Amino acid sequence: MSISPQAEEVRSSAVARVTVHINHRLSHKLYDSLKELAVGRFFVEPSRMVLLQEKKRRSRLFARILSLDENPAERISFCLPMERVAHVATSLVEEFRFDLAGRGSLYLEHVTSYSTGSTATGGTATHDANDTVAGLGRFRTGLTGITFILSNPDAGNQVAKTALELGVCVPYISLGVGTGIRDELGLLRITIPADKEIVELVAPDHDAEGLLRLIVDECRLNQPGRGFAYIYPIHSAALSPQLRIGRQEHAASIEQIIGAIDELRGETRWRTRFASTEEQRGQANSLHRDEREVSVICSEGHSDAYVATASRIGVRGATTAKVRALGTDADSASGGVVAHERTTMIVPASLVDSLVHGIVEAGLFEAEKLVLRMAITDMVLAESSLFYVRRCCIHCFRISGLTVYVVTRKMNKTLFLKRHDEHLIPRLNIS
Amino acid sequence: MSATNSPMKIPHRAAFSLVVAYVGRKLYDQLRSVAFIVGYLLVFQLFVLRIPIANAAVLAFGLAISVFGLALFLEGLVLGLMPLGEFIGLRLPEKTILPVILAFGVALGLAATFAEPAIGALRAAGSAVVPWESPLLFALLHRYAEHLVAAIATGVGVAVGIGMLRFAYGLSIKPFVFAFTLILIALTVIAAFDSALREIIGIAWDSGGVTTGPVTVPLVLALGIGVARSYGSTESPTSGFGVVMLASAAPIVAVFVLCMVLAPTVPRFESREAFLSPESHEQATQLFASETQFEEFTKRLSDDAPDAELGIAATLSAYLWSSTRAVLLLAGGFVLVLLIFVRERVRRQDEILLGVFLTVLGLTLLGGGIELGLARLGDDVGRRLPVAFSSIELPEQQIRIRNFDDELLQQALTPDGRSVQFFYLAESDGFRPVPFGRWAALGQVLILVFAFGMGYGATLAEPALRALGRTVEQLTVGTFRADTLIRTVSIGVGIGLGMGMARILWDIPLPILLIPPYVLLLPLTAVSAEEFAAIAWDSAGVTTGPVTVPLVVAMGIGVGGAVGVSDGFGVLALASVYPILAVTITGIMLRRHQNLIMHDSERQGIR
Repeated sequence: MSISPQAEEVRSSAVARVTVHINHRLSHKLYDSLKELAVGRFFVEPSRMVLLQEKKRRSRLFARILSLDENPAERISFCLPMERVAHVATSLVEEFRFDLAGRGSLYLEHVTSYSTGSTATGGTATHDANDTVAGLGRFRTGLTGITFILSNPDAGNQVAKTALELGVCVPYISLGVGTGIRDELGLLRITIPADKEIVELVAPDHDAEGLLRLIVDECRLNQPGRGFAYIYPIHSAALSPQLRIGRQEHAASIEQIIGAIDELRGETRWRTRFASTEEQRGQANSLHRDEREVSVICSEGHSDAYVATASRIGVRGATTAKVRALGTDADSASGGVVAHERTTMIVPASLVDSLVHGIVEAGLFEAEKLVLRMAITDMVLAESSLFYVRRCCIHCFRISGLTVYVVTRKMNKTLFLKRHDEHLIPRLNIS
Repeated sequence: MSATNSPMKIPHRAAFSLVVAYVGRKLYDQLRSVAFIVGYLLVFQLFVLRIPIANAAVLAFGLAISVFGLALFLEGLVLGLMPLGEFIGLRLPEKTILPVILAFGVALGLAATFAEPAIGALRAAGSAVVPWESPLLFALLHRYAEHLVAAIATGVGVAVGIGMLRFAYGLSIKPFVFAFTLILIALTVIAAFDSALREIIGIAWDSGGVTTGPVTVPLVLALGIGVARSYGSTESPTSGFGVVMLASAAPIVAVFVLCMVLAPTVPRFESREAFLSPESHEQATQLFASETQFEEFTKRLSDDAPDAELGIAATLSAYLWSSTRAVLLLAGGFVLVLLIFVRERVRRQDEILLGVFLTVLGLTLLGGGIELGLARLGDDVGRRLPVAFSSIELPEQQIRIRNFDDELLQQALTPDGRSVQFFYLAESDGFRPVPFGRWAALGQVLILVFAFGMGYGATLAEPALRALGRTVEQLTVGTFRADTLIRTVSIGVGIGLGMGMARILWDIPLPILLIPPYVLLLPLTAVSAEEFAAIAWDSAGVTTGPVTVPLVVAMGIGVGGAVGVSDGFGVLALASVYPILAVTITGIMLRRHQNLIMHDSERQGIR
């Protein structure tokens, strides 16, 4: 990726991002292992792991009760040079046995990392995926990640339940705060709740779009103000196999049987469920956009500056989550500050360069050398294709919390068409 | 953000509908939270006690503004005070050294006590205390009132300091819990065997609960979470709790110590006559701060005039003053620290300013609304409740008959053929037949049931608890729901209030009710998870807030007055301990459930 001359210190490199969702009870052990494996700095945020719990009741009428079982978990992410990731990932999977129920999941993505000077985690800038795969034989491949960002407080569990019932995977939910358009409303912004629930799912490539549509339909996410979702490629993953706990009717659960067949056949395409939806596929493609997920991790309280920069070049909205920066070099990089923020923005691919420029020009990247502590600890780019949930584009979503649909539409028209922003107009998608 | 981007133009109609939807949502939440207690009290008053509602208009007005007050206050906390507290907590460890943070903690504790003086609630609870029965308690509320406040303030100050130290070094809450509990049990036992100190056990324990007011708790909570986040290396994400617990426990120790120092200096009196006799005048005035206070007291004794009730405007303006003082003193201290040590712009200043303003407004409306609405309702029901079941209308006609024997009851018939019971009461001028209420025996049980429901309902509406619940839910990403916490705490308060009424009704010594739950809590806390332990012990401090305290005090005095017990102390302390027990047990159950899945997978792993 080309970066302007002013930004010489800012280096971009192709790295692997490892995301581990782990049961809270195992998290301290994981911190220790990560320190032993010398992964450097890693970022921790609390999340919850949702499973289906099946109970049998005496009453014949409601014989089967499916309820949600929520467990505290933690989402831990870090970036590693390509050549090291296989070793780290396999050791973690061996130690933490993600193949057992309720322990967690791990997945790898190929991302571009921007960092300053020597603290860069990246090695070579070549993007040779094959290097990574060696030694990752036990990992599942051909997967796609789906992230939902939902503004209704109960929507997280609703999506999680649907995903579990559809047998997608164990969903992990974390919290975030939406920024963007909301912040431009002046004090009126307090009338719009900013809290978001972020649901992360991993599905097989061939089913991801279909599942996304199904979940959107079943949870009625295609209403304005409910949220948005995007999908992105996942390189490989070790996923938690068991989706339900409690009573089990047969000697093996359906997930175990599927897992066994997957292993025998060595692939997952045999269980494609949305094969006949070519028509839908075409429709989906019309919603496909070439977008990038940009996540910026900086010490807490400073993400606003990045969001402001992004907003100047036409990126609308960001979701910020509180994370803790732990790890061996946590002390050296930003004065031992543990409290960090992870801001995730969905940026059109064409704008990524200007966003990086903007950040460099605003002095945010170099700021670490100044007194201000505004270091971007990590800026990560992941390829993603954004699905604006049907009829509701990202901007609709931002003006969320409105109960009246008509007002939402009106507001969107007045607000966004007035701004004559070239990046916004083509994205308006009001039906 | 708003500085870099020009604010968007919003059409007025759209803005209006946004605001309406928002206000409606907030009001609806609070309506739901007070619905239970209001409905409960009304049902009791109208259908069980059959007392018509006096001043229905004022009552309705009071209830309405307390709903507004709750909504505004809670929104103010969420927008203003809590983000401010968390921001400062987050930045202080980066910008200053530990001693400064400790000093700030101590100063905050001191300021909190003066900003939200608990002495008012304590005085109300002890309004029927007479000097010839409990001289030390009386002196504490009058002559040594300032000493009492200072002791409480020192306790809270030290506690917040210790709390900050705990975060800095990542210490567990458990050793502190054990140490304080053991010290407190020891002090209570010592006091229980000392004739002079016995009377202050109630006030000492209560002073712990009442100090942590509705502004202090969320501020301290937010500050703690900020500091813990800033320091927390590998700590659990839910660390940040535990300061409120310390701030509730330390003042109790301080008050005990103060009383131990004061006890030898306080004169004792044989009887009312001895107290009022001219010979002991010198000694009697020692219980008062000044001669005039003594004269006022003796005058009040002789004409027995009830305190005049304030009008709506006067009530509201009194609350406006006290809430302005509380919020400005505390928020002002925070802003000062922000300017001197942090020297950084707060995110969303306009929101924080609005939040502070809403907090003041909300607290005013809430306090005034409670006094005009809920407290009157609670007072009415509380006063009449014990009386209604003994067929004697006025509390003044009440006498307490010990050793009542059912064998004494006689049957009689009414003209319409109903059978009624009565008994003869021996009086100085002969024997008087006294009708025996059919429900008299049930009456006492009903008081307990009523107390439980009132404690439960009032706690549901408690704003500081809502703030705690919200924080807990956010930090645990919804695995510990705010509703679960609020309900659990409310049940605990209900049980505690029931116990408190039992203490007053049957004159049970406070230590007998207070020490067993604390003893039980020691092993439970030892086995419970760190984060649940801290949350559970913190919930003790938040229970006694602006909604519960007036109701509890009114009821304690009402029932106490009816059965001839002079002080309503100890009820608040009991209402604090049972929530801890309830939350600890819930936490252990939740943790056990969460462990199930891990056990499953470990078994699979072994195979």
